[in-house]
Amino acid sequence: MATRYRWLRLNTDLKFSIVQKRLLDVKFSEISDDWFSESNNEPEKSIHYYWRTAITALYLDKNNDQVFQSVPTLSVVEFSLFEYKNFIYIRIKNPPRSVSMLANALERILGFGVWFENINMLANGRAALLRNLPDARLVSVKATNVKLTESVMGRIEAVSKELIPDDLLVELSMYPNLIDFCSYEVLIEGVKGQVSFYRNGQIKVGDNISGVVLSIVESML
Amino acid sequence: MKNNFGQSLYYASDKNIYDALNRNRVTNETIQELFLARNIIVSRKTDRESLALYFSRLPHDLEDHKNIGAKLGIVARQERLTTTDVEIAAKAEDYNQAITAVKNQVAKLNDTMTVSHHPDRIDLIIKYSTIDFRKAEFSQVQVRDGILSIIKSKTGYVIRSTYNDYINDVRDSLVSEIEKHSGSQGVRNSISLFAIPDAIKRSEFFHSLMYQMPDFRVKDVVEVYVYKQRPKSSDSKSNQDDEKEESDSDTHVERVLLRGSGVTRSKQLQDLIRQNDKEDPYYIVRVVWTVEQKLGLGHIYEIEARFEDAQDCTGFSYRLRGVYVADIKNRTGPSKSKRASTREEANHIGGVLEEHAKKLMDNLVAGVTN
Repeated sequence: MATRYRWLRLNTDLKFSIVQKRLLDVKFSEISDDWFSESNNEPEKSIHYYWRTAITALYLDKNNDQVFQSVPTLSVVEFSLFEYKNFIYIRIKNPPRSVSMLANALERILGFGVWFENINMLANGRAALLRNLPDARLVSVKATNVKLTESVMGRIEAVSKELIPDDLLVELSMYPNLIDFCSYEVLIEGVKGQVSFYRNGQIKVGDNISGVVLSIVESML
Repeated sequence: MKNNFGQSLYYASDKNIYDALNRNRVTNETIQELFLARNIIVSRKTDRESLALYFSRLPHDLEDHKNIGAKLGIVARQERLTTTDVEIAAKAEDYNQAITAVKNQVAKLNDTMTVSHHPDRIDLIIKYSTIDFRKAEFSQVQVRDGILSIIKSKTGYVIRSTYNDYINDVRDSLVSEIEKHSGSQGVRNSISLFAIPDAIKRSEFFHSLMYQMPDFRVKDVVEVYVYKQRPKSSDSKSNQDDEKEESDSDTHVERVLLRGSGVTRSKQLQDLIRQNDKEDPYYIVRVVWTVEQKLGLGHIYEIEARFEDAQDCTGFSYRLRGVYVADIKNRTGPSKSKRASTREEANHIGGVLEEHAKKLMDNLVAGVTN
């Protein structure tokens, strides 16, 4: 199994402990629209943000007519809050396409003056990984808008179980912004796994090596 | 009430007609109808310029002008609303007499006012026309509807009205008439941050207005306007100083519009608002945001709130700009295009927003005075 991660830097005048307390003070009640709860199941503490939502279900009645029914449900985002080099970071686990609900809640609770910065791990995290794990092998890469010849722009997708040729990497490394996605196979203490970096800043890492990989890529924050 | 609108209509000349028919807003169908009224059938292939030239030479009457004018007139968009609290010891009779007096005043200006009584409020719907001579012929007259609602509150009455000069005059006349008939002086309260000069607090007002709105959940903040007053020069300074100051203020940026998504949590806005220079920082004077009702059907409402006078933060007004309707049947979420809001939606959201804004203003003022 693999897990996706995304990082946000939280810029605020508030101290880390106050931020954490304010979030965890928003607790569940019957009338609350959203709330935070701390989870201690993992080696690292994580926070779950829940908000009420509804899904619309369709069923057929006795006359085979369509009947729509709105069913109340919950949505959840799991994240970790940590402080590193005097900055507060949020690491979101398996982030949805948009994290605006979480960001709205944080802005509402922490007040005016908070702003967020999306951390892109494609450049920094990849560099940290390659520096710390020299055996990491590039096994998949996708790049768009690559200038192939003077008059041809194209998309390059390369996949290999072996190493991808150096000349392609040299060509792409000149234009790091062109890379949409790249995936590395790494060997950490005899355990093999895969790490993928995406253009939107996310990384996907195999659960068997996630602890080591996260510590390496977060050293570049 | 001032009479701002005198007799001004002219008789359109041949050239006015020709110019008007050549404008894009007049459709080919309209031109065909004009010709058909004269028993002339025109081909779709005949170019517009030839038709306009021919028609402009024919005799035309007021009905023709109305048809063309209706196509060229500005489409009246939904106007902003504002609210004024009036605390006054007046009876229902006083209100009725005042309404009758104002109705007569409006009628003198050749405008019409319709009064409708509801259990909780009285609506005055005023149909009036404005003239703007800066616009092209046939676009100068604009017929508009303004609404003025008198709503009973705990302390007196709340007058919610369309925000423009004409309706503001009608509102002031109404309050004066109520005072005259009741024989007591009323106290007017409107939402304003005049007493709060602190730029950060003025910005926080809008932030709280959006993020702490009861029963509604913020979806996105899409537009923020920030303002900074041009630094004033001192009279007591020497000429040299004045010259220097004048040259410094040449590069003053007064207003900045930020448009996007999640604007209030952007670095760009915080850079403007949290300036550490000696001058005052920018502060928010207008916002546009989208909300969703917590226990609603999933429609997304786009709201705009602003202070008309950015310097003093007075003249608070708001507008429900549109509704992104949730498609419950197809479960595709809110529509991509928005529709105009209904009067019920505007009244409901307007009521919540007004109450919330008043509370925020009272809290801020209490914080300053304490």
